[in-house]
Amino acid sequence: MHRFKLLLLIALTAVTLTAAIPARAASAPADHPRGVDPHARAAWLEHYQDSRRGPEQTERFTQSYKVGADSALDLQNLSGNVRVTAARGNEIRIEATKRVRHREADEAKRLLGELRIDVSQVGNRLEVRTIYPRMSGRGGLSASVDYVISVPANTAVALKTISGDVTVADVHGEVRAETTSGNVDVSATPNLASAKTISGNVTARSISAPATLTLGTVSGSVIASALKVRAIDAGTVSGNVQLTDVHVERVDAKSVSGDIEFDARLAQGGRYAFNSHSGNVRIVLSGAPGFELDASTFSGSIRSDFPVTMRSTADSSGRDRRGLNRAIRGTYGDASAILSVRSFSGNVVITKK
Amino acid sequence: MNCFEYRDAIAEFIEGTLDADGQRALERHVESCAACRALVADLKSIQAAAFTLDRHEPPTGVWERVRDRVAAEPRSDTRGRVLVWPRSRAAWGIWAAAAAALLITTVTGVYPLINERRHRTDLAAGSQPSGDVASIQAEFQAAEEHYDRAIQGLEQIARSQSGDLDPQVAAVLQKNLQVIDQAIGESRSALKMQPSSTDAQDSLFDAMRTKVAVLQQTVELINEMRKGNQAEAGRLIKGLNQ
Repeated sequence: MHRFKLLLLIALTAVTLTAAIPARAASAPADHPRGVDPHARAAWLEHYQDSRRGPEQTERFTQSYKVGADSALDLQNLSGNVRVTAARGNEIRIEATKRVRHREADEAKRLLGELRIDVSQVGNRLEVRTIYPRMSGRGGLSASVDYVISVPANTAVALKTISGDVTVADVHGEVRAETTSGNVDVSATPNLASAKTISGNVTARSISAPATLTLGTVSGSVIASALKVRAIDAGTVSGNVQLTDVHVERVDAKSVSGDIEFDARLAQGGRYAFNSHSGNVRIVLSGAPGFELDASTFSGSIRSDFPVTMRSTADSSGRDRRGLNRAIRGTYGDASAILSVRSFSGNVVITKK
Repeated sequence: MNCFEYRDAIAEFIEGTLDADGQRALERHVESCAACRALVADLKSIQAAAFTLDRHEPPTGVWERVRDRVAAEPRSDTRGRVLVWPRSRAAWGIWAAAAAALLITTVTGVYPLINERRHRTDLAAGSQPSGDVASIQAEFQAAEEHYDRAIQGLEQIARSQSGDLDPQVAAVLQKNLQVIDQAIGESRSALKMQPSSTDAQDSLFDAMRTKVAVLQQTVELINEMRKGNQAEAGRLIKGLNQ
């Protein structure tokens, strides 16, 4: 009888835990403890920061610069978000907010004055640099500058920041957007040359141009949609690569541990390479022209919903001893596009939309 | 002026010896010329790499041995020698940068050649083992060793200078290098089980190439943080994240 009670107790505990864990997972994100209002938590954290580093002191900077048709903006920042958008007219308008914290109010004010925005104009080229104050050695300083900049649509824009998000929209000149720790978001920028970060996501949307896009991150995902470009180079180490609704002739997409998803139509004569070490690769093709397929995996599996005519080589069956597909090499239709898909330990799926 | 005529100006610009008028003219040209812009960026990155490597001196013992040997040698005219032992730290840096660049170039160049040869051999000989296959295996091993050396060199630089990085960024890079190391480990284990697996071989070299790229990014980032105000800023960022 005692043994029966013990079993019943274990069973009831298991049932209770099974029911409780998903409920908790659904109701509270992992970074917010259960029952805590995230807004209140954020307000407390803000207050905690204030007590440790002093209240935030801000100063606004607004300035406009006349430029010609072939204007260029080169901005280097250290900490803070940067947003650049296109506007009508022939001027570059900079609106910046300088932010400083220090435990001592007088010192904060002094540092705010020393935190400078240095703008130099040579012809139509504008260089913007944030000059940070020398530290007194007493520590406790935090300083950043957020930029909101509007430029004539054809301006060439080069942005580099260390910590902060970078956003560029509607700029038709060449765009280079880089940060180290933060997200990069570019949209409607037909001359995007590169969008890179180390820790953060890279998002590219609504771009139509005969260009090669280089989208790269180390820890984060590459997300691209509504693109009509010549080529995409997309790479990450631990994030995913997601390419949807893209019209592109050449793709080179890589991840080490993340998944790769390509949901688009192949171009005739196009070359597409997808490679993940341990992530899954999913290719969704709509109205595909024919393609030559070279798909392989070392320990995952492969499935193709297209009737591929296998090449007549010794390993054309592509199946291992357990009957799992490890390789598909062959052609479908007119074989006008080349599709190379590889995952070392993930699964590969090639399917129809 | 055409692009060719700007080459000298670009070299002077990189060395910091170009006068103000020349600099303005070059900047105007570079703004509108993608090829020259790429050249300037390339030269700057080489210069930045040399700057980092400049700080790596051989251990003291090596200097002492060299000094002793030089002192023991009779004086002679250096004219006619192809290489002269570098005397300054800067010269050491240039040689070290050149060596690293050569190593990385070799590494990135070797694998595609082997890969191409492997495919040719596969087509010609099917899956039958042959002397050619054995030689390709040897080339694979050599390529792997090259990658290993490049990775070790870059890791050494990144480790010794990582104090210049924001701790959070350093942690992110470290975590991702571990992800790559796991991929390298898995590929090597697979190769032990199936030495002729092209999937395992490709996977190993892909992972190693990715590691070289991430380490290069790390070194570039360290350089960025060291430039002028950025070095101070690096410490500032640390304070900001505390």
